[in-house]
Amino acid sequence: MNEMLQGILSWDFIAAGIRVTTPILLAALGALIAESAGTPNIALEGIMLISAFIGVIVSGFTGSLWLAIIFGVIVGTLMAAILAYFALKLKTDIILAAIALNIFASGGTIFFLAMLTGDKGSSASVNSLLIPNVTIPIIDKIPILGDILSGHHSITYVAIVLIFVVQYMLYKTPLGLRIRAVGENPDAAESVGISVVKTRFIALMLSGFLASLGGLFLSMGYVSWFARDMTAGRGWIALAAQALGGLNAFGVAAGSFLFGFTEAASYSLQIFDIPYEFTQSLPFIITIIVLGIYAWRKVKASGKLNVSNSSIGPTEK
Amino acid sequence: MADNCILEMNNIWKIYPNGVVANKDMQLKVNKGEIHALLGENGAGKSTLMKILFGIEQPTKGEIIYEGRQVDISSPNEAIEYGIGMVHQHFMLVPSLTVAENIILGMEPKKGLSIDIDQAYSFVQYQSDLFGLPVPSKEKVKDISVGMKQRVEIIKTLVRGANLIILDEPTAVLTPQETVDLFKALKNLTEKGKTIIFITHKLNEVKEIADRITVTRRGRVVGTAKVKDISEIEMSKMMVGRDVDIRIEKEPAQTGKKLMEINDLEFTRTDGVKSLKGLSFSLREGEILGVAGVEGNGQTELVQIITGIIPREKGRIKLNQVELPKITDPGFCRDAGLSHIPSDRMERGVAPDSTIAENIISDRFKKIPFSKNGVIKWKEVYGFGEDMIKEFDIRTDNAKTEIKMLSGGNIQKVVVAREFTAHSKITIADQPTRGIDIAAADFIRRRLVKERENNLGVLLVSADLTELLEVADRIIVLYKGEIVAHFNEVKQINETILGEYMLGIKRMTSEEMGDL
Amino acid sequence: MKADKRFTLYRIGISVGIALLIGYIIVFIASVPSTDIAFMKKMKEAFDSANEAYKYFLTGALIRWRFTGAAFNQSGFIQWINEAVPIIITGLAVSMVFTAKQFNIGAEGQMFLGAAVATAVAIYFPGIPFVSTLFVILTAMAVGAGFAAIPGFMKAKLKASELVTSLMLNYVAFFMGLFIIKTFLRDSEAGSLVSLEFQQQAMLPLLNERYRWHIGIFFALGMTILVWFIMKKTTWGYKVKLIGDNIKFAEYSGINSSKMIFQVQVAAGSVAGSAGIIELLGYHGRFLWLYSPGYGWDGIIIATLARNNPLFVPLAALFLSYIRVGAKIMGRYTNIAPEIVAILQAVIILLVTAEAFLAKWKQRSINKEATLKEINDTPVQVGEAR
Repeated sequence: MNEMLQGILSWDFIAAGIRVTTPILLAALGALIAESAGTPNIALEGIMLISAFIGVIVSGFTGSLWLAIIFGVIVGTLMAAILAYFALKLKTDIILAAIALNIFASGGTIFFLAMLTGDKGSSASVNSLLIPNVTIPIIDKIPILGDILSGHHSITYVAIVLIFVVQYMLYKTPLGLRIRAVGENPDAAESVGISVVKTRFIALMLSGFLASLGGLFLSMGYVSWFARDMTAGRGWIALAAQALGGLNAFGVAAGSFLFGFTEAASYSLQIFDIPYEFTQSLPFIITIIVLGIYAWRKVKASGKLNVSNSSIGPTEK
Repeated sequence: MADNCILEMNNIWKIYPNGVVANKDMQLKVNKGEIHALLGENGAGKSTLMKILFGIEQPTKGEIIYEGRQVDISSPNEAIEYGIGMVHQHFMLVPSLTVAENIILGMEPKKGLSIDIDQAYSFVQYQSDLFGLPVPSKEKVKDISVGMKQRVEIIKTLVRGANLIILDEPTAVLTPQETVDLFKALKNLTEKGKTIIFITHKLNEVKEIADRITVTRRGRVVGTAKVKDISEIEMSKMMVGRDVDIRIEKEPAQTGKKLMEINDLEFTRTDGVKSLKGLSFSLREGEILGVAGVEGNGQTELVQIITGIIPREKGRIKLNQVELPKITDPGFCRDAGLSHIPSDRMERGVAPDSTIAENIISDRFKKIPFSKNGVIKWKEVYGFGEDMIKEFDIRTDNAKTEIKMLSGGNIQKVVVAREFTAHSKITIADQPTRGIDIAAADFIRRRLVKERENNLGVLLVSADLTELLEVADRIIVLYKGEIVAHFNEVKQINETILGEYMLGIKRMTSEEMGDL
Repeated sequence: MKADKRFTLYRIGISVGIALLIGYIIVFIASVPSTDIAFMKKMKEAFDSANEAYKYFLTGALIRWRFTGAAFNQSGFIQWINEAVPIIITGLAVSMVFTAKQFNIGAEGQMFLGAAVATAVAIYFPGIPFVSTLFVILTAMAVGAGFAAIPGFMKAKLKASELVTSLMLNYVAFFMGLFIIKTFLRDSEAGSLVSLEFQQQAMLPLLNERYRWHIGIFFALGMTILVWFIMKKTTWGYKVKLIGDNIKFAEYSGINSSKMIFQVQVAAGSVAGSAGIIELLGYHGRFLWLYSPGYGWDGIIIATLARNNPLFVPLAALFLSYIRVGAKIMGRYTNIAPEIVAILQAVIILLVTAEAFLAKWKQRSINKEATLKEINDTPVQVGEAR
């Protein structure tokens, strides 16, 4: 027991927690922007996967880190734009459209991986690059503080900064005001000449941009290769983190850290005799339980039991 | 006159994707600086015409000439650019944002990347002073009154440079005092050179405030006139196309025992407003009890509690001697002998992608002959559906037609076909003729009277006072969640008398009301 | 209105056509040779090999191409039918929940866990022909139903979005299933992680020994009839449809929507639960999945293509398995990876569900009809404008 506590409370564990949280946090911030605009982005999983793939392939074939990042971000944002185009212009059900994109991402990355490298499992044969860690001078010399603050991956720092940027964007800028207005009452926004379609388009693309950073982190920071379906449900956990955190970036960040640290704890638990499959499913079980409790409290607060008022459904118009 | 004309809409047609024709070759001419009333019943096409003008809907055919130029308005944004503003019946405000944020939405003053919120406040202050429409700019919209929300809406159009303002039934939700304030503000605006189109179906308001009117009926324009040249009776004739005072012939009510007893009913809305304050009344066999009141005085809550859709806070309800449980269960109420014609047929009254027959059996599919041992007998169901189409004069090819393919009046007939053939002792009819054509409305009213002649009870909630006076045997008036009047002799009263109680000008004592 | 159905059919046809065209373009690009030759020649070669690849893709499941000519491809045909079996079943399951406008995407997990648990029965239950088969399948269905009860309960009672919970449960089911196989049922003599072999008597009878054509297709078609009957002919199916069409209307009519949502999730879960074990019982004879095979996701595509009509589900599933088998055969003869099908699937779902796709065309013909009707109507008197 003592040993276990030590494992959980070590600096390594905290570092691992932050590392694991990073992609969830980025995708969850994306989920936040999309949700604020009233268009839930279920395709985060697929967008992360595609960006992870593009990053590895571009860096492997061009040897340029910057090109890899740029292309990873562009393609991820483009995926979100496709989702937006179908959902907003062609009136495809946004959830079905996102499921289609996730299927595309899962199968498409394997297809292109096979076509480019001849391997369907991972990109081991591609000599791809890593986005570096950042050591903050001076602070890294301070004993405990240095361990916590310094030496993380550069995308992790970007993600932390983005919590504040997203919060500022949503609550202090014209764009944020418009996104929230469109999400809460699209007719009101339309009536003052704000294009609902355009605003939602922007929000979805921003969410795609954030998720693509998360994807790049997975294949170029967390590990240094691409493997099939390597996102492993992180896009979905991000949605859960957003649901918990509400329409507030700090709340969403808290939710992301909760899930990230649960996942990190599940790795720490592997040193004990707990089967790998249990520790692996722990984050998902925790997510379900937390979502259940959260929903239960909401039901109790509203006192309504009719299902007809639930928020996500295939034909919300 | 031509140079004074600010807007011309010519030969406007609008056909919706489901085939419903809302506007048929409509014409509208509006002069600069006037208040132009667009008069018509619900469903006459006036709202659709205005949605076309504001770019929310696209006309199927027709041209719009604004300030002498032919224009093509494909979005509200373009309408705003031309200087057209619209105040919708359902407010287009974002509840969680402040008044100022709502007003500056889409034209935010900036300081760097952020919104300059101080400038926003002073801007809103300046504009509201300019037009004499004070608003609390720092409060959230969800916390202000309805009249205030409307003011915010008007300022919204003004700050966007609107010269022509469309108001869609602006008084429907207002208190009398608020209406007075609104009319003052509108006059003030025309003095400042603004033009106003005022959608309404209230004749007295037209007389009071409008310069000219255009009357619409069943998707067509019936005519345009100067208000001072035309009497209210003439207007109403144009509007309905028949004499309104044709009364439905009926014998005096022969009432029997109590069918529904309501005792000390209370309800508090989620926004904290107490919308029912200890309501008690009963409904007897063989009578139609009318419920009058300005919309939002507790009628919706009353109906939804009786029909088991929302839970009551306090009080007791007995249907056919059966005590209604506190939990919500519409099925229980139906089993206890209740039929319900809901006020919004599309929200609750039908399943649009299902067929007519499927819709008609939704409350009785478990019963013989429609099903046996859990297996539906479709032959019986569709046979019954065809019978209902004939009996209720539903205009369609056959019972396999999907509901979404029908017009509003025919959809309502499907609803009443179901509710009137449920063999219930009590029928709750909530705005049963709203937004449907006159023939269908007339048909439904006659069926209501027939119910009562079969010794059944009907609770008729209606915003249409003429309808109430025509159909009901007794009328109660709701004002702010309380019964403020009760008329046993409906033949001896008129709209004006009802109106005084509905607007809270008068109020009966409990002795005057007598036995409810 | 007939126009509605006709347009749906056109839209599906055009969507499939566009998907195949996009697939062709990808194959074409992948076929451009990297050798240093003239551009036109390169194009010509790419064109030829793309055509060749597409020939296998579109016809390979039925035709064996030889130098001497074409012959019926028995193995391809059997593979086509066999591969349709599990996805017909998941397609039915998904169409049930979609009919109620619920978004359970947990069919994948229900199928996987159902198969893993039923594997134990298939290995250890005494071998009685038919009885053990039936018992294995019922076990899988029970597991599927039980697992579907979780998101069903959370939606019906707690109003928690079934979308996220059912998805999370897919991962839990996957890890739990693997754990069961690894810990209790593993064949330690096999090189990879597979279960012990099933009892011979539990296996499905074969119609063709060589290519292992099993009778699963009849099970799937029987299931289709059953689901069709339940959904279209019973009061229960009627209630599910009403809830999907307008839940407030269903509640107003006296239907308990929470109960129905729970029930439809569980019923669909039991259907989905049997999808995986059928394939194992008929074809593989043991549990051998290291990745979740994705049949639950296929079910979403199939239900969407079939417009949630159970009778169309086998057609949609046969279409999907046809292009899959074709893609595999193409992969055998060319360098095109069969995962290209995922790209086509995505395009098909996107377009088939795109309401506004081709809508203008549709609206134009409705306008025509309505105006014609209007002209025949007696006009209302139009007053003089003053």
